[in-house]
Amino acid sequence: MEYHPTPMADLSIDDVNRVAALAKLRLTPEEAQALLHDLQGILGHIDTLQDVDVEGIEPMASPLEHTNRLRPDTPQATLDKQAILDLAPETQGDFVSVPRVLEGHAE
Amino acid sequence: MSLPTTALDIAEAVQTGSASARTIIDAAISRIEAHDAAITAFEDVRADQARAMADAVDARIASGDTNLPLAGVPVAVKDCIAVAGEPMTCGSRILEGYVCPFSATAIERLVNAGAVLLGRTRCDEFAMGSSTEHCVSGPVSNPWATDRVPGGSSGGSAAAVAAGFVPVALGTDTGGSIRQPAALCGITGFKPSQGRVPRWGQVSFAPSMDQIGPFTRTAADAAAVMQVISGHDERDATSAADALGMIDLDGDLSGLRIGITKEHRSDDNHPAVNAAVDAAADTCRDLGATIVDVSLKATDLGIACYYVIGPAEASSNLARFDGVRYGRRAAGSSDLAEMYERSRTEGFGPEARRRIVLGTWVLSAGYYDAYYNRALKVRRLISNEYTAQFANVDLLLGPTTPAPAFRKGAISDPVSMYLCDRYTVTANIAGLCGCSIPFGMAQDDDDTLPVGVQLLGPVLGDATVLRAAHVLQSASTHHLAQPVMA
Repeated sequence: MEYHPTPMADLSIDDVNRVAALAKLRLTPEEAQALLHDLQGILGHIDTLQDVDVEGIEPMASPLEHTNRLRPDTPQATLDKQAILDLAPETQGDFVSVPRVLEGHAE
Repeated sequence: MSLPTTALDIAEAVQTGSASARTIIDAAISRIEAHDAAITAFEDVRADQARAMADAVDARIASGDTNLPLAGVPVAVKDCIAVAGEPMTCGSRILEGYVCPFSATAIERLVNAGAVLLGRTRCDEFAMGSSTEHCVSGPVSNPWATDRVPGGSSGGSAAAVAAGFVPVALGTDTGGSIRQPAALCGITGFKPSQGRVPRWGQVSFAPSMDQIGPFTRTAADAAAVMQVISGHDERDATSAADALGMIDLDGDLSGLRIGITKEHRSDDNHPAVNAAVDAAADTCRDLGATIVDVSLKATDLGIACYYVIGPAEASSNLARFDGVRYGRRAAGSSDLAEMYERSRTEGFGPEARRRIVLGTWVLSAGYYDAYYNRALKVRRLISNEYTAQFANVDLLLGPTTPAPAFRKGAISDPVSMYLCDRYTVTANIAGLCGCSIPFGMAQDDDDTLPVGVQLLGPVLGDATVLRAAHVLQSASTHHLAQPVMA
């Protein structure tokens, strides 16, 4: 099945809510409307990239383009376990705890 | 007796015993207590800990330690660079209550060099902004006119140096967040080449463009800080392998070819901005440099390219803030998915949300090739254009910003705010180094405001940029102007 993305100019509130949900953000209707307006403005500017001839140009993910640089594989000090647990909002014993993950599997 | 004010003068005074680190830090704390209520550059001033650090530096001097190039120099730190044992919020509610378990490489190196950490400075949330108005604890005022912004995102660090609170502050620059506030606050701001300063301990916004760098009054101080904080660290595999080396600041500019980018000397700029560039070019010529006109067409695409790549990387990096392992968790969620959503929705402010959604968008199925991949190709075109220019010139000179500091609240439209960075973002896109130095004043309504010019150098050309900035300052007085504090 071929997927046809919405052209930027035709963005809808549903698109904004769908992408916000992908990013784990929940918007009120007013926030979604404001964001739609902002994104239309920003994407209108970004669309100037579509006019550039990039035929045969390789993408450049970083200006550094290093080859892999490996360090010696030797044991090193890490953060103390308790220091890491102390950062977590909720813990149980040596674990970070979260609300239930799946329906029907109560804690 | 008046105390020294530059980092180099302070270090010399502390090293030779003509002033103690304790005296220096006490004076800095007093000045902040007297004046920061009107500026709110600082998120947090840790006076007791700073005094203890200063005492430790004095003890190291007394015990014969001669390896303290920044002895007793007070340093303020942008609130997105980790200092062990200190809170760090990144200007965001989502890091409420967070305390850093380790220090950034740059911080470790500053402390080893004898610097005294004085506190954290306010910034736009996750370093996203050009005005420091997007900070959860409130905005920062420009010391030259307190109803105006200091620039951003490192506005607190820039204002802290401009107000004379500290001789050195660390900022971060992903699209201009050091150079732009330096220009708007009338101080020196240096954005190192990508990889020069390890990013270990710097909260990632867009790692292919993020760099830590110094705010100072003088380019000589910026060079002194760079000697300390630059250099490879294996904890950041993208940090540059080759060392910066000792920067020789002496001499003039003879033999240097400096290009003026035509496209940046625009009628859209405030007239004082173009006048500052002309004045800087004339001074460079007087100092022996050859000035040539250059054209950089692809730089017009900078903002469009940046606002694809930056948000794409940000949406990925900010995925880690989910309320699970650190930071603020929303209370009372019935399952994990709701907890993620509520923690992030309550935790992120409007600008961070905008960029996360935009970034998620350009990376999503159907848009990746049309936007993200295309922006990466345009990035190479921009980079290639700079590479071609730097085969012909040693440095580029131009405006740092199109205009001096604007009033708080004056720019509410995101695109207009983003365009404030149109002369700075291409350096991050291409990995270049750049230094903004004050080079004149603008009259805007009743306010007299500083104007900056920017020297850009090729990747790893940091020493040449810093030397040229220093030579320019040695032959001029613009960097000596200071705001009158209420």
